[in-house]
Amino acid sequence: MSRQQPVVGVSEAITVLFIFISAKVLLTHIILVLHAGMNAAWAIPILDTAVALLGVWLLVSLLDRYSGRDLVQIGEHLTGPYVNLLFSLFYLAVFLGGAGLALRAASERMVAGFLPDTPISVVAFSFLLGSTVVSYLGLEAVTRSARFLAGVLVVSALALAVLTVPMWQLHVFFPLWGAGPWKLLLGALANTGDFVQILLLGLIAPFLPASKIKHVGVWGVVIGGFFIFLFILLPLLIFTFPAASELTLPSFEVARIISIGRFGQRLEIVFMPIWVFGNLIFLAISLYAGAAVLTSLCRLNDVRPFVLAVAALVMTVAFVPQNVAQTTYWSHRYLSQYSFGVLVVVLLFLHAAGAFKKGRGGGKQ
Amino acid sequence: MSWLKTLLQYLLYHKPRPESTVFQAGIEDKPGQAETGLAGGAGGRRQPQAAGGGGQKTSGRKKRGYSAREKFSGQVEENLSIEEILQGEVKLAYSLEENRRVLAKIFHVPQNKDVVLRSLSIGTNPPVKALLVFIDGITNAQVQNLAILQPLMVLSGLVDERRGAGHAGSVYRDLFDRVREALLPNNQVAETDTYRRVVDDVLGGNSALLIDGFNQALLLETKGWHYRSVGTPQVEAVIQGPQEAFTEQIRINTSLVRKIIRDPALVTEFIKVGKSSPLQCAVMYMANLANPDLVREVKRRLSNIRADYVQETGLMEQMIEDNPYYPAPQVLRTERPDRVAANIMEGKVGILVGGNPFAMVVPVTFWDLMQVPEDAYVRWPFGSFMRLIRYAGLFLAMLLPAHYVAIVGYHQEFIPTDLLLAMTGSREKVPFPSIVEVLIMELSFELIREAGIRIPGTVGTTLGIIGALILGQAAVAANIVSPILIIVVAVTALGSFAIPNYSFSVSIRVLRFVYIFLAALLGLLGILVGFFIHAGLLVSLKSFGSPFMAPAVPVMRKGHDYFLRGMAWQQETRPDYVEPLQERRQPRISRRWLYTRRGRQGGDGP
Repeated sequence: MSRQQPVVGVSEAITVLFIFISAKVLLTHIILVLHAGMNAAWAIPILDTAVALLGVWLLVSLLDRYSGRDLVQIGEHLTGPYVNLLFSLFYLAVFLGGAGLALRAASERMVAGFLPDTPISVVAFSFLLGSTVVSYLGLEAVTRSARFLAGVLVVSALALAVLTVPMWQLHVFFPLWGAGPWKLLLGALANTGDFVQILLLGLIAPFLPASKIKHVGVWGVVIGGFFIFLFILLPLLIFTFPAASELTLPSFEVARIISIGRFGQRLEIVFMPIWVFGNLIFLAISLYAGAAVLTSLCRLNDVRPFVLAVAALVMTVAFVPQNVAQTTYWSHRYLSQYSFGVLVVVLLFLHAAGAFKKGRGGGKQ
Repeated sequence: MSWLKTLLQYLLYHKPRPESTVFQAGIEDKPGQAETGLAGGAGGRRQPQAAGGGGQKTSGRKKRGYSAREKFSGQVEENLSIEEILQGEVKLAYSLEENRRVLAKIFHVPQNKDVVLRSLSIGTNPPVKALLVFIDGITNAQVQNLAILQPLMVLSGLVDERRGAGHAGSVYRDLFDRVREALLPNNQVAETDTYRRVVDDVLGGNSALLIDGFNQALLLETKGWHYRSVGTPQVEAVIQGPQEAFTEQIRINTSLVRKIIRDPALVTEFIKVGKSSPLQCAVMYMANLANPDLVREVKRRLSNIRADYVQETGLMEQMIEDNPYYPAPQVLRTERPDRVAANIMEGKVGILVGGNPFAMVVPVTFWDLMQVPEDAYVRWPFGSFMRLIRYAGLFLAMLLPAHYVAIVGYHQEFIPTDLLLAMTGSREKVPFPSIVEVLIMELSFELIREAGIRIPGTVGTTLGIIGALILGQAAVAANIVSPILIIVVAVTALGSFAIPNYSFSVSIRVLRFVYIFLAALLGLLGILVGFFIHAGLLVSLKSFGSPFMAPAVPVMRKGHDYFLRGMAWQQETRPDYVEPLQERRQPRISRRWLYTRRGRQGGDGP
């Protein structure tokens, strides 16, 4: 609510980054990773985490060189307004597209799992309302809410893992390389876009302690990678491959199968906070990030006027796909497959522009 | 087209015209008299009636346009002149009669019988006229008689005149100086030369002595109003721990805190708040601990309150809190001196308000609102356990009825089959949806609670129990609500009583209804979305600049006393969010006896 410059602590920044990266495991998306890696799909997030760390290195080195500026401002400084507009449209596409598709997928999931008689528009509106209010309150509210609720998310996720231990089938690890190392590597490269959300670091960097940006990036990616790994591994261990790849909502099915005696059954409702809070935080971050890109682009100081506009865009995007299958397919095709590659290209271009400018006497600023 | 005009008059907005109040019994019953009375009240400025009906109506509207200010313009002017005397810091006159006239005007004497303007002669040679001004009932008559009137009127003549004021070799500058130095055996005497200061002190229970020929007054300490003695806490009772509570007397309250903190660094600053009836506020802090920025901010907010009447801690809280729109309190109100002292020792600031048995402590966090002093007075595992119970109470008070509505309405699969059958069986005859039965019972309970507070003490408790029991029993028997809902409502009520801070408890009671509606609308999803927004608002909230949810978010150094209660010897540092001047409150090893050999101690003893 404060109009002062927001201050984001290291802990909050790491939390918000890892939730932003790993929230997609709560949706249908992970079955496409299972298709790519087969019974060795658990290795894909590990490989992707390593690739994402390279992306973090590229990003942080750029942010460190131009400290006090966000990625949009750096782009404008190095490439001018027109080229930077293209880059910014890419950032916007990542945030708005990701948020819109996540909103649709999460709403579909709620309707399918918990509220079968409720219209999907009402469910989507409720998700959007919660995330819009919090992102309207500002970056501090978004990051602190994420940090405040992170305990619920982490404990619930770990409880989900622990309560399914009796159902784990360890033979699923073999053959260890799945369809082979080469195919596994290709599968990993095809899913690097799962970590494109490191872009967020480029937008919140000016509000972080200057010496801790790398720390935030590395830990955010590592913890996010761990949760993606966990939520890919769990359905594999419980349902084995290929049965796991045929589930519509793997994390929901994992929660649903938990049984603790006669009284402790159908516990999926207990794990509902993971899905709701995880997606709400993801949406709130996306709305804030989208608004922040537009704010930087328009050289304004306050993100709030753009939050409502971005929310309206996200709602529109959410209802473009015809059904949840198309939503999942688009999310995988346009965000998980190519987006990280585009980001790396943008970052390399900015590095090259920086080096060129330095060579011509532009120097560090 | 007059009908169109009339219609438009009804349809279009017209600025409402103030109606004057006629303070005359029965005038509205006399036909035609009310209008006449109104016009007459305006000082006979009634206009002659116009011939046309329209003109008549217009003049009628104009007639009602005057206000009480116009009607009593003389009195308004007099009030303004008094205001000018007070606000303009007008100096006292040399003439005693002039001073008497002005003070009589300010205090509305002779109508005002509380104010006494006592004329006297100081028994010097020659006698000098003087005037003692005070308010009867709030001064100590014995002190006035023995320490003011008797020395001035009787004993002043006993002093050797040759050593009196004005004579060669006199130690006194003049008579005024002599009266102040030698004739008034009063423990506190101050001087002033303005009417405003005289009026302020007289209203505060002091007496003002004015002497003919001097444009100064002596302000004498004669406060003597009646007050309650120090009693036991009524709201924050503890089983083990101090049993003292604040009273309505601010000086007693400051002394209660000072009795606990015997440190010269404890500073008490007084600030007057309000306009018509300035209220004395004491700002207490440790000069060597409290952040000067925090102290400055507290004083800035208090001294910048512009209001006629801020006579209660609750009113003042509303004037100084950071976010008035959020229901949770952003100031800790307590009646316990030990709690204020403990918070001051953490680097916070205490605000004591005159005439109020509740003090305020700032800044406050969510965790402070869930703590009670007894947590510290029992051993740490039990203190922690009691806090956990309180957090469970908070959760139940806020979310249990909403969960009932959500589960019954949307998530029946969550309930094990046997329990579901039992619940369905008990609800079978209830004709209402779950939201209606929950609202019926919750509102009934709130009604009982509110009525229980307002009903006289002798019957209040009994009525509360009878109301709750009979109402619940009868509601179940009449198939208005299900028996399981009675359990839900009872547990919810117990949960709300477990919240130790009254303001916070009330805010939770109100928020409970929001969650009930959200649950009715969207089941558990509604509750979770509401909680997310609630969390977003909570983490954005600040109390005097300190984050309300600190040290949880933003993450700060966590002591061993915020969520759970740690061991006393582990609590080595003060809270980070108040940024105290001294971070450490005890050394790393506070139980030094563990490291001291028994033989070495007491070596210097007898």
